[in-house]
Amino acid sequence: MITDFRTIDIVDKAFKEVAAKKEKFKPTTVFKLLPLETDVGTLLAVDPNDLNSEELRNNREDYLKELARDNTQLLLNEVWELPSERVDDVIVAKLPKPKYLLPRELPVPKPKPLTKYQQYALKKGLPLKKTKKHKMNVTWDEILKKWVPNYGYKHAQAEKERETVIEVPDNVDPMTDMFAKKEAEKRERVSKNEFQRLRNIARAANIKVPHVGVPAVESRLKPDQLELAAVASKSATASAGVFQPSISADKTLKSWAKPPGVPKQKLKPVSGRAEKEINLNILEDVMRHRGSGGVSEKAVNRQIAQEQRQVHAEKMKSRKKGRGGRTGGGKGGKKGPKGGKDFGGKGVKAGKVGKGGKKGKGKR
Amino acid sequence: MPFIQRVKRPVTAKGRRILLKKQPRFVEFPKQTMYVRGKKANALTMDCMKEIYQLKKPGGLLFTKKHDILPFENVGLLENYSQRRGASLFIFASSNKKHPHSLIFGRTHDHQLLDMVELEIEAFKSIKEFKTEHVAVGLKPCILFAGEDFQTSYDHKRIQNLLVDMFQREVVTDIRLQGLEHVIMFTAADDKIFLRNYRVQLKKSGSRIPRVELEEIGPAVDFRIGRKKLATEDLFKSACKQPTSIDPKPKKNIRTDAFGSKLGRVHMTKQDVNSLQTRKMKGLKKSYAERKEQRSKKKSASK
Repeated sequence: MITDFRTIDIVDKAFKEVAAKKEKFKPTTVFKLLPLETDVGTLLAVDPNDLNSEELRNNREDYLKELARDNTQLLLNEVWELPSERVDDVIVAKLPKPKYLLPRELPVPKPKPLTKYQQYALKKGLPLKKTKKHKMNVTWDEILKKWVPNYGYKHAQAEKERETVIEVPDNVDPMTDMFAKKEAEKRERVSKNEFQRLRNIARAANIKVPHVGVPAVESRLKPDQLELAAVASKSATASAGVFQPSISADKTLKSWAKPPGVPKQKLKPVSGRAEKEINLNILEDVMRHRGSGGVSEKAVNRQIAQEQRQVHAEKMKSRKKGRGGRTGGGKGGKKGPKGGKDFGGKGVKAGKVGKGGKKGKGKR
Repeated sequence: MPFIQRVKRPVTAKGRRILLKKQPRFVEFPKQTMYVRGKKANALTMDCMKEIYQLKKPGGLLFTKKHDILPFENVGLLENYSQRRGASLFIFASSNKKHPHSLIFGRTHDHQLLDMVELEIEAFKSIKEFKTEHVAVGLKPCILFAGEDFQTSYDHKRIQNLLVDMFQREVVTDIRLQGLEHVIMFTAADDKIFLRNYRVQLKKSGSRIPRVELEEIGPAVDFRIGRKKLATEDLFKSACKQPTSIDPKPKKNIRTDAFGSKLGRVHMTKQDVNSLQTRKMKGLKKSYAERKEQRSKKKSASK
């Protein structure tokens, strides 16, 4: 019996404890008809359930707050499930990558186009970049007995100091200025490098660049270079070679060697039917300009002008006559021009002039 | 020496760095927001915009001068600002007779307008009106959406995407659990969007997971959806395109042991060459006798 009482006591106590706990702590679980769509990576939760429109209208703030609480609880439940670690007395959770897709600010970067050398190196299996070794910026100059920078500040100065004399080789004209020659060669190298750099940029941007031309430094030109030089010289006129007579080498020139800036001539279709149509069009064009009846417009105009002149001359004659005798006739003549302007019939004109005269008579 | 027309390159290292920063990159910086004051923005819209600016602090570019822009007529100037300032999100405050008290939320992709939506303020309750403690500056908020419109309507879905873009701050890999303090909720109902802000209070629940209680902190805004200009599906898709090289494929057969030395598996077990299927030919076909023998072998083996 005693033991029975004891067990009842324990059970009672346990029930009470659970009830107290329930009172003290509210649950962390939330019931939803449809589960939330969450993306823990962006800390985002979308509630697909329908809203209670009546509550939303009458008791909006409390309803929204309650809704927010439930959804936050569900989202944070998921966050608390994530693997976490303690860093400096703070618990940090590892967030997964966001799943929710957002547009980027700028498009994905495109790979840098290869330069012409890089393409060549790739084809030949050469290293794309020279392996970088640690290089000193200065070298010991035995002649000057000092450290000279490899490039840049004080490099040129040291070069000048060292090379006070340059030997003129046997195969070169003894009167050449070797210093000027050296400088010119360097300038040429720099320009060539710059041109190649620009050409690489142009190729990357898909812009067509005219051919380089013939390098000025090389002593002897190769056959294709000669060919190119011929074309270049032909096009080097004010009219870009349009009025230049053809050179015999033209026939053998390659298509790429065409002078830059001169558009390619488009070939017409050669089928018989198309050709006939083109020719007919030309014929029609010619005929249209000639006017009807095989008489040109110019000739007709000339005829009309001549007639007008005749009429005018006649008019002047009659006027002179009128002045001598009847003055009214002159007046009538002045009124006449209406008739005079009309080129319709030649015969009527004279009559009209006469009419005018009659009218004048009537007024009198 | 003839003058060489060079392709313009930045002269100083600083200039080079600035240009480099503006170039597209695989992993992008968090998006910046411009807050632009329209020509006729009134106190209400300005207050609302400034409080959103305060919510999203630190960061953001507040343009307090008046700007004579009508974004729905000509967005070019905003795109220009976006390019110059390197900010792809914008909020534009304006108020006129036709569209009163409106905030225009928008974003650009590649300095071209992507999405833009006009939200007219119907009710606004400032942060100052809530006599509670505000959340700390710079915390990553939890973003909640509710309402069936966000599920059914195509436009609402895009607006949701824009709002997430606007308020999510930046992508992080670690988060302090006690720092989950700020909740932003958007609720859509009858062409309206309710913006509510809450502060999270974590209470003991008797288990490891805490019980969440919320306290409203403001600003609380009721928006009515006005005009919108959303990107076409194709443009949006191309704007969302992610680089493939961000997470390279895991390398097979390579591992490092406890001492940090790299181990690779070069050989598998010996392959059974006899059972290998080679090219099928009539000449190599087994004869009837061979097949019979094989069958009998199998039978005896199974017995």
